[in-house]
Amino acid sequence: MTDAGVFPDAPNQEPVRPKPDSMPRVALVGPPNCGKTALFNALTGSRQKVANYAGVTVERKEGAATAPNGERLLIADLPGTYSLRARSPDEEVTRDVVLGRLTDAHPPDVVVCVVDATNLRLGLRLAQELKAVGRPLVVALNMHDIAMRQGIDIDIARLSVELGAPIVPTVAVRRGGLDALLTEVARLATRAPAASTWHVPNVTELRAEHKEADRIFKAAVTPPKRPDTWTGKLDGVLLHPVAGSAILLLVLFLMFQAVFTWATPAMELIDGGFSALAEGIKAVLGDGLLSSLLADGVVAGVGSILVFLPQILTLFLFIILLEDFGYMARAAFLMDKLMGGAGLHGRAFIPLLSSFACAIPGVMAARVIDSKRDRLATIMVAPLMTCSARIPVYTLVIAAFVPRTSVWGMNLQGLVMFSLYAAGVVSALLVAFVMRRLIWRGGSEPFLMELPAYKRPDAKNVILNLWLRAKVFLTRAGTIILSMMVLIWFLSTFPAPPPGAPGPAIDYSLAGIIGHWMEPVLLPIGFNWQIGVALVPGMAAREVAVGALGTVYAVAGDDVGTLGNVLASHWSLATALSLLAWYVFAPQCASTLAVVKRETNSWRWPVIMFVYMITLAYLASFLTYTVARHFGG
Amino acid sequence: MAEAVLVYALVALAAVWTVWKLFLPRSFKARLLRKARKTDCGDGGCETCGD
Repeated sequence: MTDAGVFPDAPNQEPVRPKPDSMPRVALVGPPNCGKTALFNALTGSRQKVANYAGVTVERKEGAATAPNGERLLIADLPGTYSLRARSPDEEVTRDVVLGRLTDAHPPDVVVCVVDATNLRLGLRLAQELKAVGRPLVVALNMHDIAMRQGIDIDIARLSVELGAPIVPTVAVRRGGLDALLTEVARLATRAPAASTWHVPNVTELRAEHKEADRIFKAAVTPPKRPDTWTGKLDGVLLHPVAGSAILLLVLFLMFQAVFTWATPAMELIDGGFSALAEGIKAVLGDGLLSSLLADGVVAGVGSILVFLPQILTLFLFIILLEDFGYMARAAFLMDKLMGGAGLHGRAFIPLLSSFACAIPGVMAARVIDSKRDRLATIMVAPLMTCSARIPVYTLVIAAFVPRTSVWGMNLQGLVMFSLYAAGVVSALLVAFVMRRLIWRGGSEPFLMELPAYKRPDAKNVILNLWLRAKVFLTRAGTIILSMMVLIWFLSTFPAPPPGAPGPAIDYSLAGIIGHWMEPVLLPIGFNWQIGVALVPGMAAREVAVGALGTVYAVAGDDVGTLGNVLASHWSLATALSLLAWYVFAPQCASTLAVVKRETNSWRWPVIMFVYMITLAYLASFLTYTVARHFGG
Repeated sequence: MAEAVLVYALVALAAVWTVWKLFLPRSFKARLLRKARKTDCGDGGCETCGD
């Protein structure tokens, strides 16, 4: 039987505006990485991030779906948990929603226990716990197609009898089984909940629960006649301490090579487009304030950031493919010893990986860590991981100062980019090591991780995730960055120089005055006043510094081609390297500091973070500049 | 003259937008927006009615 035969059609899932008070509430609960968010997206038409590793969802998300009978349902996607005995903050969210302990939310009318059909044993105990809670329960047997392909035979009728709940096979990524699931949910939504018999189990009860789950598993599931050896063989290589680490390094290395080779044609196209647009504006409007604002402020500023979109998307294409394939959890396994040596909990891998996109989701993802001191240590180093906002700064400076040559067959620019990412990771480990010795002494708790099954990356999910990344970048460029570029243009243009002023006009502007005022502090690290001007708006978002440099040099009339060419003609190599070193550590992202305050519920930690990062940034820049000057840079 | 007014208006707009997006605390913005929104009977939030 084909999958299409099992799941004939998916319901019409247009996103519906939730009406919280009138709709039955449905909670999606299940172990991590069983496809809850994929199911939530399929049911509600939402576009929440999904990936093939545990701990992606750390917050409650809500959306609406329509059952085949027309009834509208309010669906909540909850963080994954193996049990209602919550240990970390994300698991507490799930426990509190299911048990109706939240004051700001009604308890669910129906609980959907989502279980991975290829790893059913793990979900059975949770399903038993949910049954004990007393709320109407439906079990979604997700990834049923993969289980069938693997030859796992699940007796659904028997399982339903054993669990005392309806079982619906689903394939969330292909919207399979959604109609049947929603029909069951709508049917149960009118039932009154039974009295809860759930309580925190003691050791004896826990053992009994495990035994019961084992009994149900054996009664309802027949394992494949020919067990999968492919996963074991692949893991034997990818998790090997030497071969696995070498492959991890090779994968990361290839990723950064691709960032500089694949993205170049698209970048040149975008750059050419913005240059032509600026020239067009000046040709149509002539010389004047409005022309300068649009060409030198908006186009030069925003354009100099947008040009990096192809590189950001290339990098994320690799990350998303590796996540979907199931490799990222293996990378966590390989890194565990190293992270443990630095005093970081193994689960810190998830927030640190998220921080490659942006430190904000990274800091929030630290909720997956049980212990408070482990969580704080992770939060404090998460911003050291190279976020996508640093990519424009890195690639601009690398393209301008590092020759496009090959060294032993490797692209030198890609090699430098790889080194900067490595510097971010190494510095995060070092800082964590020092913090664990100075502030949070004591060992970390042991790390147990479930390795997800290898999966062929789903093209739709890859495209959707890439689009989400592009949307975030374009939205920032079109809102905050655009408005800041207008302000930087204003600061760089006004006041006008006095009549007969000998220097360039920008020297007399507010930006020039502020920049010259900062110069004495920045001179020891090799920064000129233009960099100083760029660092201030970079507090809002790191990539704004690139746009600010574009605007400042455009207003100054430095028209020698691309921004990279302008920088190459104004800066020494030592200055360029110093700026790169600065951005490895620079704490310039106000939003990250705000999220750290929210997550730690104290101003103490964002202040400590800001101080230690700016100190490290200054010291690293000073050292880099001094050494580079010594060698004639 | 008109060009200068337009440019200054755009700069002022950018300044307001930047302050709103970056500097004002979320709670303060929520309070401002709640006050600005016109409420009709049945929308809730009225102390006397309680609905």
